[in-house]
Amino acid sequence: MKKFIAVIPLLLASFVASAAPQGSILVKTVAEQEQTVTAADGTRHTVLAPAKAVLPGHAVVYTVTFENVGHEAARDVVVTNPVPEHTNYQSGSAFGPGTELLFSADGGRSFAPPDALEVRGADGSVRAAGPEDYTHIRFVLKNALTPGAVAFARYRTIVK
Amino acid sequence: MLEGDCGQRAARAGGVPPRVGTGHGLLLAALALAGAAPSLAVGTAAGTVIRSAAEVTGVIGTQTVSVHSNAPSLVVDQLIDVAVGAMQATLPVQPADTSRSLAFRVVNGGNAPETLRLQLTTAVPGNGFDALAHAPALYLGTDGAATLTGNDPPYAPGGNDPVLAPGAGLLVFAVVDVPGGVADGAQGKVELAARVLQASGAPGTVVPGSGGGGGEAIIGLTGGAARADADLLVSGVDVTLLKSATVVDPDGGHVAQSGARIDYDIAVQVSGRNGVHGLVVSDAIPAATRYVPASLQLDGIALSDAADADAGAFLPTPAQIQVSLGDQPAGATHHVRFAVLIN
Repeated sequence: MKKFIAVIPLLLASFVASAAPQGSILVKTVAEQEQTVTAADGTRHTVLAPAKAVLPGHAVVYTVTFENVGHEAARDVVVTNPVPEHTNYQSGSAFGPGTELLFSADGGRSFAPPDALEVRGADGSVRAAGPEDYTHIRFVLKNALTPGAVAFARYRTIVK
Repeated sequence: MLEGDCGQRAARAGGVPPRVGTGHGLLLAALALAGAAPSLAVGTAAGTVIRSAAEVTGVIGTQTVSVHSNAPSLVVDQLIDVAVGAMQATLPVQPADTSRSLAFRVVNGGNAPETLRLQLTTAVPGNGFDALAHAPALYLGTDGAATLTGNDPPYAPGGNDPVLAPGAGLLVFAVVDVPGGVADGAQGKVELAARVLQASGAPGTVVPGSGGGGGEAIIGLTGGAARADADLLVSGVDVTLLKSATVVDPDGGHVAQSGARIDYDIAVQVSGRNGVHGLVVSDAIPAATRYVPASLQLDGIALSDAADADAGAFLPTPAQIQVSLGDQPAGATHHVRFAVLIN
């Protein structure tokens, strides 16, 4: 028994160490899918639930929750998400209250609103970037994240 | 399937609303695509892992902080789907035809390699006649040719069940005989069925843990089994030859004796649905007789004995007359006449 008691705090410590990063902001990403459920009164609702059937063409909804767990406000908070490999960003799906939305089509080197994004083709020609060209999605908080405040950002991708 | 989605810590304030907008029904849409368009790119392979981690940066006091989130990983599940199509909807055949081949194309519409079990059915409900399957009845078109070749191996269920990569297709040839005596215009369907060996069943059925890379396998709209049929249409080539003979002996009588002349009349009648192509009437000179030179006629008009521009010829070895009538429409009637002398 004593051995177990000795081990458990170690495990907890290692979990916390890997889970709670440096600084005073906690961030968590959840991948879910929309599912239709029927309530007791027969009405149907779409809810987010753990991913169940991930097939080509299916949507996956990513929700990033970030929280200021420190005692000072965090300024200039920027949340950057690579569009996961094997998926395309679904146009118009990104949503983050109190944020400005920017995208990258060059692997995260530069960010711009959708109408200002361009990509260069293999032949050197430049064209407007489409959602399938996006490599990163960025949410820029307009206001400081005060101590204890929680914010979230969400976007949807389609499995290629 | 969701794998190891252990967040760093649940948010203390429940700031995440559980509902979002549209998007449900995509499962069916994706399944429909996979089933209806067998040659489409089938997408990300089963077992592929999709990961995503967010990075948050900010300034706290004078310090810039950068934090990465957990990276939930999803395993792309396996879609089980197969499609079958007939390369030729209708094959014109004639009664008692043998070894007629019909080409089908079988396509793996899923996103993982699949082993398929094939089955040919010739007794299809509603058939005007049932074709007779050869044994073996199916050949795998592995050499890429559009028609059955000697390189195509016969198919043995359980022996060489084809394994198709995602999106890949294979030609399968069915070889059948047509019974004699089938009526002009009769139709007989021949059906090829293909089934994914791993699993088949109701569309949307989840086969837990059986997908590649630890994912699940999900049965697509075709149910993991598909069939297609092709029609054998008896397309009516029916030619009737009615031969009559008149004997005139040297004494003016009708005795078939040495030196008597026999005048033959072959009445050619074409019936059926579509007429006939390249019709040639030939008749051997009977034993113990010899052809009377320049006696060959078609519809009352003399034909030269030489094999030349006109339709007829006398060929000495073996002795026979031959008249090429070419393409003849249904209902055409002709008379071929020639004479021999009894030795």
